[in-house]
Amino acid sequence: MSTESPPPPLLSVRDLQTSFPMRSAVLRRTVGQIQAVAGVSFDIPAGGTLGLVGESGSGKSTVARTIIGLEEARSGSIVFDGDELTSLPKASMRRVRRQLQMIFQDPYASLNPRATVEQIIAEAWQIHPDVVPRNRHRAEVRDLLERVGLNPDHAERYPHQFSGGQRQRIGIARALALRPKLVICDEAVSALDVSVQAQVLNLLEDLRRDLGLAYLFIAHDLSVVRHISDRVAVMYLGRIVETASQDELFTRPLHPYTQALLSAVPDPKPWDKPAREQIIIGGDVPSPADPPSGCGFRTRCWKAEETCAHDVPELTTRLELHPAACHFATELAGAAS
Amino acid sequence: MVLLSVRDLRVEFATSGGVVTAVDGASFDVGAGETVALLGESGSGKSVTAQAILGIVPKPAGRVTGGSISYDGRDLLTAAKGLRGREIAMVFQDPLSSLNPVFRVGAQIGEMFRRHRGASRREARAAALDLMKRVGIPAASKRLDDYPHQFSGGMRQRVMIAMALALSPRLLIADEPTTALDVTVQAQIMDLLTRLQAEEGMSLVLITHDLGVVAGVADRVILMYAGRVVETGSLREVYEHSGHPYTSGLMASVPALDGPRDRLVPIQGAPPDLLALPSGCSFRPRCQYADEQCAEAEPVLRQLPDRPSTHQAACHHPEGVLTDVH
Repeated sequence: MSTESPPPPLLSVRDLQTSFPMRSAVLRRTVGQIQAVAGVSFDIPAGGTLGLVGESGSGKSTVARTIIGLEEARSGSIVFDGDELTSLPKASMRRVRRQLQMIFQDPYASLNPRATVEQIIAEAWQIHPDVVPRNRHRAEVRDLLERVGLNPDHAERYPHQFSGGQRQRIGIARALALRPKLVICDEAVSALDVSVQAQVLNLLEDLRRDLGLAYLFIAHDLSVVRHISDRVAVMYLGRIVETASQDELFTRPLHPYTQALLSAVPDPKPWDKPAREQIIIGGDVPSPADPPSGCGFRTRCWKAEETCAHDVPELTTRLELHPAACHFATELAGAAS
Repeated sequence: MVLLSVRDLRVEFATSGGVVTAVDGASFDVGAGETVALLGESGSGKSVTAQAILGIVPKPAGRVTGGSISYDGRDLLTAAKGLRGREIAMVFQDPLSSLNPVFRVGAQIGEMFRRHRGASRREARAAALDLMKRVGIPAASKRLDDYPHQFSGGMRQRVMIAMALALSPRLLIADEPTTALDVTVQAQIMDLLTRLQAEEGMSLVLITHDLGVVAGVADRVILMYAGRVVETGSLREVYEHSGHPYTSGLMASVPALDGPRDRLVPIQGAPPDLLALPSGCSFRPRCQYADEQCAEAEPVLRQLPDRPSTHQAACHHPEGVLTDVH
């Protein structure tokens, strides 16, 4: 054998586009398309964590829903563990989905209130009987509960008997039941109180270390994303505007949107650091139904010039820095360093 | 000068599981022109405290069962309703549910002037326009006749702030004003609130669960847990020299935006179940310092050793917290 090539990524997304039809109530037909995801590409290696951040309307949740098959991709490719998901027959999808699980924001809404914790966790094994044989269900549920930090003796209890943080642990146990390789966490800790959020973040880190899980970690909270991610991608209006290692992105943001976003995060101890210049950008995220021409951020950007209205900036690496989709990224890098 | 003074406030709620004491003997002051943060997680009683100040505790389930709230020397619990509407205003987390969906925004703001100041329709409209400009709504003259659903979340919150400011209140209470907003919009709204507070010289009470949001803004902090005030002092004092294990636990739970990525040190256990609070200190089941004393006696707020007299915590063992954390 010759020299080893690097292993292929566990998940590889290329030029993904997902759109929703805009229907007219009067004409009763589709009058246009909302580009929720307008060409997104990224990789996640086995055991790695990609943080996907963005504000409401950025399309980050739609990316997750498309990967998991809840929305249909309009174009592009999603390769997971060697399988192209966008063209996979339904029967094979079931096999693949086993490896690909999701944890949702609201644990209460995603747990059946009339099922016991054991029934909730064991449900997936009825669809995939080969994972855990029937006579092992009880023991396996106990193991899973223990692993996520719940009392195994509580397997017969119902979701309403648990606190919010404990319910999120049940959601995590359910996601782990099929022994996935990738878990998509969609705002998985956003609804939790700070004191409990830290517990769940530590749990997710332990599970990654012990089980070799990979995460696609979607969140709007930048400090949480920084804490858990290896790499980070920033989305705005359906596109990734910047992507880098966690360290690079937070110490040397290149895109004006990333800079504004980081600057807007409130600092709990502002007196510890030299006064930073706060960038407060005006306005709101434009509607994805009517995005600006050219660069989506130009309507709120202090750097915007004529060219930004015409040309969509490509997400490319300039000056050997990390990829950023801004015409002026090199200039901004100089100003930032 | 003390503008608002809350003493031993107690608010109870009747629930299917029994009577819950949502606020259990809370006391604090808010000075004129001061910005105070009322901090706490879910179930801490911070929002119910605000409801009690404004006289909007949901009835019949909720009831103020003890204590006093005095505003500018007058007892708010017995005062006529008008006082609260004119001098104390409130901004809520979710502006869409506080605005009437079928009335134009300009008319809703103008209503304040028509009802309270006897303004004519034309005067009210002019005053509404002024306010919309002051809170930074672009193209305000065009937007006067829009309906609430035509505004974005951030712009709706600006409309709410405009309505709250209409009668030049001396005290503005903002309950999680930015929690539902994106972070870039949150920065805009906090900037606006601080600017208006300075311009108007009013007192501002910011109710939030977010330690960061109030850090650059508030002068003083009142931290609540399970219906009680557990620590209070100047913001920097409380953040840098936390004397209550709950406060120091919260500080250690928040991931940082810079510096090393250390493993978080969470507070153990679950938030308090108000129907089954432990004896003595409510934080005791989650506390590493707890001993028999904590089970027997409820700790009261007292000055921390070697700290300014305004810095107080309700803990039997603040020495341990102070030395371990700092």
